[in-house]
Amino acid sequence: MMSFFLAAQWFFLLYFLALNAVYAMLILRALGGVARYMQSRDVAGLPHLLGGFAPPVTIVIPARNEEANILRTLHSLQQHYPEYEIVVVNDGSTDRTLEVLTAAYSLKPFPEAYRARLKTRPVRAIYQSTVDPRLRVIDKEQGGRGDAVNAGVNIAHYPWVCRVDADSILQRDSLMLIVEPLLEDPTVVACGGTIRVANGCKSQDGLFVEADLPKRPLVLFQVIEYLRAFMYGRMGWSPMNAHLIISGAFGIYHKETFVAAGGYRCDTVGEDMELIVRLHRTLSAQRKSYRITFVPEPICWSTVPDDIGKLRRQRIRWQVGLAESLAMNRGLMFHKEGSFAGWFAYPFTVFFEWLGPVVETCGYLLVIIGFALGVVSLSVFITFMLLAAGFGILLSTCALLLEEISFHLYKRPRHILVLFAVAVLENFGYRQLNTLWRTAAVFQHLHRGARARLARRKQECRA
Amino acid sequence: MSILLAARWGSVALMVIVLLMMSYILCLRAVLLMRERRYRKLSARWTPILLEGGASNPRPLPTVPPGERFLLLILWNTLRERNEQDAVICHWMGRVAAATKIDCLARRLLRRRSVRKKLLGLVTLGQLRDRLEWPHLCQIAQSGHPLLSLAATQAIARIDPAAAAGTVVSLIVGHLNWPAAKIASILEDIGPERVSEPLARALLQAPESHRPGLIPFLAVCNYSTALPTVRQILREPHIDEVLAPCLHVIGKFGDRQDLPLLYRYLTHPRWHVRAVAAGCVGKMGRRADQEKLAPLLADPQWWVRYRAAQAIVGLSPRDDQRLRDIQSTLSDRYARDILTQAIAEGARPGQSGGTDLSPTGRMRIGAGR
Repeated sequence: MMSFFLAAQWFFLLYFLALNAVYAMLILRALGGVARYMQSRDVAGLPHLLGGFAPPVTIVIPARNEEANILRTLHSLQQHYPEYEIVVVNDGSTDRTLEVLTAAYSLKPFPEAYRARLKTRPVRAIYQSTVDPRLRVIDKEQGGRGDAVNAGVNIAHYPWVCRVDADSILQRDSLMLIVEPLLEDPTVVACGGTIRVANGCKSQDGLFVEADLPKRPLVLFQVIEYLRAFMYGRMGWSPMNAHLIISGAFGIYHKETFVAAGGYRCDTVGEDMELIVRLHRTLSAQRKSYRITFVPEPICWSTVPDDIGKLRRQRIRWQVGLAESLAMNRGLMFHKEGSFAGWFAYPFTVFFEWLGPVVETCGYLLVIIGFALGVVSLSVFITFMLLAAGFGILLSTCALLLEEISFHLYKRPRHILVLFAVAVLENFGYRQLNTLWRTAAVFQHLHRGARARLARRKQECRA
Repeated sequence: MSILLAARWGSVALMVIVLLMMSYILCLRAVLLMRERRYRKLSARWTPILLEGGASNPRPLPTVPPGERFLLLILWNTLRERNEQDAVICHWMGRVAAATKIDCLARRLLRRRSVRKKLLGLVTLGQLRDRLEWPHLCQIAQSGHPLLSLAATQAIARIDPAAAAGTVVSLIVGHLNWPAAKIASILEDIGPERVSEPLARALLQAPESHRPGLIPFLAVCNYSTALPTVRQILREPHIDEVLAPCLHVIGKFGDRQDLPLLYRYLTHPRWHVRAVAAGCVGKMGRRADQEKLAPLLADPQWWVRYRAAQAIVGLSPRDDQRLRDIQSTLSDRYARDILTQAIAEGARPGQSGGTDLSPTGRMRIGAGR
């Protein structure tokens, strides 16, 4: 028994050290990246070099049952941008989304020569606004967000396609900011925006006005999580061209690359991540020079779940989506052309993001069981808990530091103090709850995979 | 036991680091707030002074404490950028810069280690048209640092466009990895009359593989230089990659003399070339050209069909009966559908229909600023 606990102790220690070594590396890369970005912003912010040279963009909004949000979203897309068109895809809504759009924008049927480059669920009709000819609406059968975006891409006129979710809040210059990396580097094929929590923020007519902190602790915890994910999660991987996700809330894609890759897959709940992992896999296998990048500046604000049930469902969905994205693109792992994405980001995601919750849960269980059996002493128990919480707090504080030296969006000193408190408190309950949900998702995914394999085998036997 | 001890000390060390970082963040915030307060005060005092360029009796300038000079430099740049089009204010701001010695500060910033400060210095000297640091600017422009070299090139172009044209063009040829949008913006700053000759010369002397990257910049040149250069490139043996950029330039200037050349490319094996050629014919051609464009309505590539349909609809004079006649003669369903769409788009004012197809979709040079 003793030797089992000793071996387990070493395993968890090494796992813990490896995980935190990668995080330390990401934080250092993110620090460099933030410094470089802020320098380039100084010059880009003074003489507006890029005005007039921005490429034309098609904005695609997948909308299902969005009668309450859709007009606000369209209003927020009145961007300071030279040339763009908007395609709203009504994905089999059962509410009045289409009627609301028809009334507000005088939609009329349009004889579009629909080219189904990406296969989608049947399209019922295509409409164009008579008050704003830049707006077209596709009415189609329900197929999910990925399927809806694919349909929008099929009728996009322009070479860049920007996906915006119907519940996102943008700034007037969000589109201009997200295209900057494309103008700076001709090998960029996709670019994501930094997403922040919209709950509690002030917005007017669908446009972001001022950052503020939400009141509910559950939402506050997510503010810190988003800061961590974007400030050094994405920022750390991005300089190595190795980040594996562009959030579906706001991202831009080179249309031909998107189509050549086959668009979004509709058989996964994490279609946004799956596409990016697939792009890494296929483009690196084809030895193409490409970059998948992101804009560190907060340019999109997304509403996050404010009750525990919704949050649980979201986290399980994310973890299943992650597992599916990895499983569908396992060829990327240690592929000889896979560069940083295949050799570092993918294995990191498998061992620490996918399996991490399971290891963490086992760690907690082992310490608790050991403590109950008297194999683990009280001092070991307390040290373990302190160490786990200490690293969690350190990582969140690093994210806050990065935010402070870059965008310092939360203006009031009170905000900083609240965020400090949240960075500490989230390690006592919230983090463990998340880990449990994610562990459940891992088993759910494995179980679902096993059932699917069994069904396939039965079918083969019958055949 | 030793692991436990290490873990215990580790957790204590972690707590100390966290506390130090939190204190550091609070200090940063305090500094930021103080800086913002100072900047607000400085801005309230100096903005009216900097913008009173048109006043007949400008008030005497207040003294600037050395500690505030850097903030004044930032304010100066912000206002200068905002009032770029107002020559009177710009002139007055130049005089204020000299009187408050922020030009000396900008020169000193060039020698700082911080890239951020160097950049600010470069931008300011460019705005001030300050020639004193010209050799140093040329040196920075040739450096390997992508941001600094680009900002220095822009400063050179602003300070003395006439003297800079040749230097800037040779810098561009040597830095084809610079963002095309920024290069185009610098060339526009210098002006077509100055940049045309050196750019055309550099293009004709450039290795074949560099040409596709350089040709699009002919769009910011003079008509009388750009078109002969493109024609010469197309006359001589060339790689296929130059075709689409050359046709874009031809389309931009729209000289009908080039129509026979464009007809040749309507049947080119590369679909990009066919699409661009169709777009150009639509822009420059006449009604009779619809016979040449009609076969492209059944092209296997959707974009070629779309461009051809747009071109046919756009041929002047617009005549709906003519379009209906063409439609009735089409046996191919795809051809009919695409023409129906183009007619519907053409019938609605403000409908752009994405008429600017660039092969890469990256940028369209010469679109104006």
